[in-house]
Amino acid sequence: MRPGADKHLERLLVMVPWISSQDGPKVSDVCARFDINERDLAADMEMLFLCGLYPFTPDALIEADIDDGRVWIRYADTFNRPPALTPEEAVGLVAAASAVIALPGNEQNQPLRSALQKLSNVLGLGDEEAVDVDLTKVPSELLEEIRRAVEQNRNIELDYYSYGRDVWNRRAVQPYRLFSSEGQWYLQAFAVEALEIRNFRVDRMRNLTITETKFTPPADLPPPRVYEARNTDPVVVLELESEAKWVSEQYPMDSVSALENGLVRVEMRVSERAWLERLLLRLGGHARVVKGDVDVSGSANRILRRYS
Amino acid sequence: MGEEAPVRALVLFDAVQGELALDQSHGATVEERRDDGSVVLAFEVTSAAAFRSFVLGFLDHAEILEPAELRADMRSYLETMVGA
Repeated sequence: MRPGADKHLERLLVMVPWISSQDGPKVSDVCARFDINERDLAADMEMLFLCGLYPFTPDALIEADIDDGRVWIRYADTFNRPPALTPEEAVGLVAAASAVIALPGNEQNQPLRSALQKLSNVLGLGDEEAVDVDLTKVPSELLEEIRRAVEQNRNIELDYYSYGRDVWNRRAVQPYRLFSSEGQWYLQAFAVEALEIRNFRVDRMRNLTITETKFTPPADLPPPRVYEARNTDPVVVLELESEAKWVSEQYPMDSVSALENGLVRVEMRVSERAWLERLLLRLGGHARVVKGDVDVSGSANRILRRYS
Repeated sequence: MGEEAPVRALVLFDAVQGELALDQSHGATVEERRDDGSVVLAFEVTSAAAFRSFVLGFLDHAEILEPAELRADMRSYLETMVGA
């Protein structure tokens, strides 16, 4: 599976500082910790070897090396200097910190609040100019209710709209973790009927009830990922024109290849047909289905009936 | 989103998507709530293409009511998709 660029970057941002803080960890330990194989790790190290700061001379590049079954990363000296943030970078940090503080239960995170206040002062941001991080509108009472269920390890029942299948269902779940990603709130939970851990978007929940049934959360809860394709999901192959190439970076792909005619061919796993219909409808004539069980013409016709 | 002259548009969302649409439509206002659970939302549109993409995200649960230009734009776009 080839992860999207954002997931790859996310992994590197966590992996690089961890490796550099260890004393040459074993390749096997790094792979196990970050759930990658040795080939991926080697590719990451090769790429890191080209990363650094202007003027990109050897003393300004990151040293990344795999030797005798161990992994080494050493920062160039320039990385040890205090960071000199541009105003845009500083505002970005304020926005990110504000988003973290907005997480339920994090309101009293004093160290983060203090750091945020200092940075805001440096930037000259008063209260009236505070950065407003606007996660999708979700009632705070609903977030509090979910957080309470997570803390008390109690099952919840809810009506949930499945975007991928375009239906509402009543679900029973064991709530494990509330998190936000790309402006949305999610609940990572064990879906009782599906017998697997899934993510549920909070803004697609209605009529939530906390039950008396308690559960024991897993000791090794996997990190939250908004979407992860399963090997059993059907394979879809698309050819994308330049206007639709963003798809190859936005979503996880099994493979991406540039064709001689300028198109990009992507192979992806898609579990929900309605999701793919929506994507193809939005792409219009800029994408062609080479392989896959989807009838975008039929979808367009269903919508068209509303306009006749 | 967009830099076109603002146009006020009305979209009908059926009962399946009405409340979700309201949650996801920043800046939209409720024009009408109907007895069957559907809702009409008013939007200020400054990019016809972006707006069309947004509405298509609701599949056949949404229908542009006004203005006629945006409605015709959607119909033309869908006719092309059907004929493709």
